[in-house]
Amino acid sequence: MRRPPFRALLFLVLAAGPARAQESPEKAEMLLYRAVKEGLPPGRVLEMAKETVRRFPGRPYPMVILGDTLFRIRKLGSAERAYRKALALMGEKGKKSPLGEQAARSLALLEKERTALLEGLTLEKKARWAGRAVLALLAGLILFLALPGREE
Amino acid sequence: MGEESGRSGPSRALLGLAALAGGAGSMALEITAVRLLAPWFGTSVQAWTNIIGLVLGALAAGYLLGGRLADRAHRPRPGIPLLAGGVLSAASPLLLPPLARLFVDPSLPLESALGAMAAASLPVSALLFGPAVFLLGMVPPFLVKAWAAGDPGRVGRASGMVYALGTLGALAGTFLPTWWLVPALGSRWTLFLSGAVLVLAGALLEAGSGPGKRRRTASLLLFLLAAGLMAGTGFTLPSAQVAPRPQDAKVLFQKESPYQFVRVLEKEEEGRTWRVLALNEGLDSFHSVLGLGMRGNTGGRYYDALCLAALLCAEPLQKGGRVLSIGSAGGTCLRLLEENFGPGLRLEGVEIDPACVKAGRRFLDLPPEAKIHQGVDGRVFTRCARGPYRFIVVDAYSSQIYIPFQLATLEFFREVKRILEPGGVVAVNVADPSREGLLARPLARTLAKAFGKALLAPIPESRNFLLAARKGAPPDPRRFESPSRPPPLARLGKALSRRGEWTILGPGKGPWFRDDWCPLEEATWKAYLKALEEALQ
Repeated sequence: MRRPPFRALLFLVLAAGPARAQESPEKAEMLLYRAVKEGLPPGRVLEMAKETVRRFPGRPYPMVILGDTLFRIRKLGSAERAYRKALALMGEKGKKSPLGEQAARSLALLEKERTALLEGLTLEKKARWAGRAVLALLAGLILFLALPGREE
Repeated sequence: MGEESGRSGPSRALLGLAALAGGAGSMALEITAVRLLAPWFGTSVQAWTNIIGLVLGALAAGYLLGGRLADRAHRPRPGIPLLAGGVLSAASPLLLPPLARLFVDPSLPLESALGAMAAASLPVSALLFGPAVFLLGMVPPFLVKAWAAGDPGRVGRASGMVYALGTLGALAGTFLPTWWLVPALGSRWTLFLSGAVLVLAGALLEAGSGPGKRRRTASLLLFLLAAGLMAGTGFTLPSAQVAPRPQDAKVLFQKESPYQFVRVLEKEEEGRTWRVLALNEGLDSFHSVLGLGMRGNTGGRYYDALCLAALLCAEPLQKGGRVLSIGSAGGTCLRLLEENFGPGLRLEGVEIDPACVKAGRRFLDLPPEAKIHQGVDGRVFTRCARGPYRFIVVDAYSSQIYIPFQLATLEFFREVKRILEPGGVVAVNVADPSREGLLARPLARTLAKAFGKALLAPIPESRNFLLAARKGAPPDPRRFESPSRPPPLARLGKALSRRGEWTILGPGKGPWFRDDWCPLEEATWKAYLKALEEALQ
């Protein structure tokens, strides 16, 4: 359940400037974590993640959130592109780094999860249609048999 | 006037036998159908409802057609639908795998496949069991007509007798599969056996249906055809697939218990060999786990969090004490508690299904000294138990995602509190994939209502929440980082002790569960749907 006072406070902190609120990487990460958990708009999360990565380079969590948010807001079609975009944003274009690989792994996992969900939904749709067809057939058969015949 | 005057069809003894066999066969089919489908579609409320609804619908249609045909026929032949129904019933286990594969993808995780599995149980059971039940539904009107032997004055008594015998047969078809046939023979052979009984009854009825060379020859041919089909089914049955084949996993143990389909699977993951206890459809969910060569933890899975909750006890578990695991399954929690807090503990478990305990002892390192109360429901045990226990773990699930409602109410938690020692702790595992804790929060409120305060903490990298409460004082999550923390749980302890990771809840406002109002299934579904919505946003 969301807690509006905390959300309002978070907005105030963000309005005052994330840089001032981020005294330590742990605090900055916690703020970012809460922002994601409280369901702040993705655009705002993206800005926070960028800011945190700039201020505390080399920490995986903000990088993962950055890539994840880019992927979620659907500006990018695939995890691969989201990863490249995230690296480019951070000025690491073309570089291979453990941080980037971790971000890519996280994004690939997210994409796999989405694919599985979509596949599950497709199967469910198919099953529902088949179920409806069966019910209609059974109801039709019962009605047909229950109606008085010609001999009656 | 003699009872038998004017009758030229089968004797009443044969008609009675057919009524008994028809009732037993249709009910055995219905009961065993749920068990046969369980490894593919689970035993959710939806699956049960779909199967029962389908059977009732098919029976209704069968009665209607049977009535019509019985009126038209000069001499009704109930043996034919019995023979055909028997053959179809026996062949259903062979037809299940290709049909189920249309709707089930065993590689999908549980939350992705739940909806499809619940919905697919209807069309699959309709195609698989609908025709057999429909044919068996045609039998009673034929039998009534044959019994009444053309005398309208006997129709009442005849129908009463046919329905009474049919219901007695259904009684046998209800009890025998659940308590004897399925645990002893398995669901496939149970269906084969019930099919064989139907074929035999049909053949006897046909054979005794009256004089006439042509009729006898036709009956013999029909019986030979049915017997041939049954023999073919019997030879093919051992190779039929019982459950979806797990990807890259080895099946070490497999058993159909009176409660569920139990398997122990072994697979390679994260560079290690893991053994898991999977029930029914399983998919990616499991009820006990063992990492070979691993001691004291399960690599951050929710069992570690449940074990960590023992640190909240006023008296450390290292000093000993009684520990109880409700829903102990293969004994992962008991094993972890012993590995982390030493052999001084008196371990007890409650598990309704003895097959899980057997699998746990053979393959999942369930401590041999742990005393497991088998075949008992957790609620019944807590009501009768004396205690006092220092630490109680509640990790009971049915149909993968549902906590049995009687283990989630205020009355249950009060009974748990009664058997805890002062300062003792109860820890509850709640599978709730929604970010807000749509299921975990009302459950935490219920726990808080019994204990005053409850701890609610999402377990990192899982779909589970840890709920905990202490008798006499609120739980203190800072203890997760206490020096007495066992090293294998250190990492998780650090993560869970962080402020913001946990919440201490009072009873507060909002729903909480009690024995006479516990919409747990609804809350569980809402949580899963919300998670799905969030993931697709």
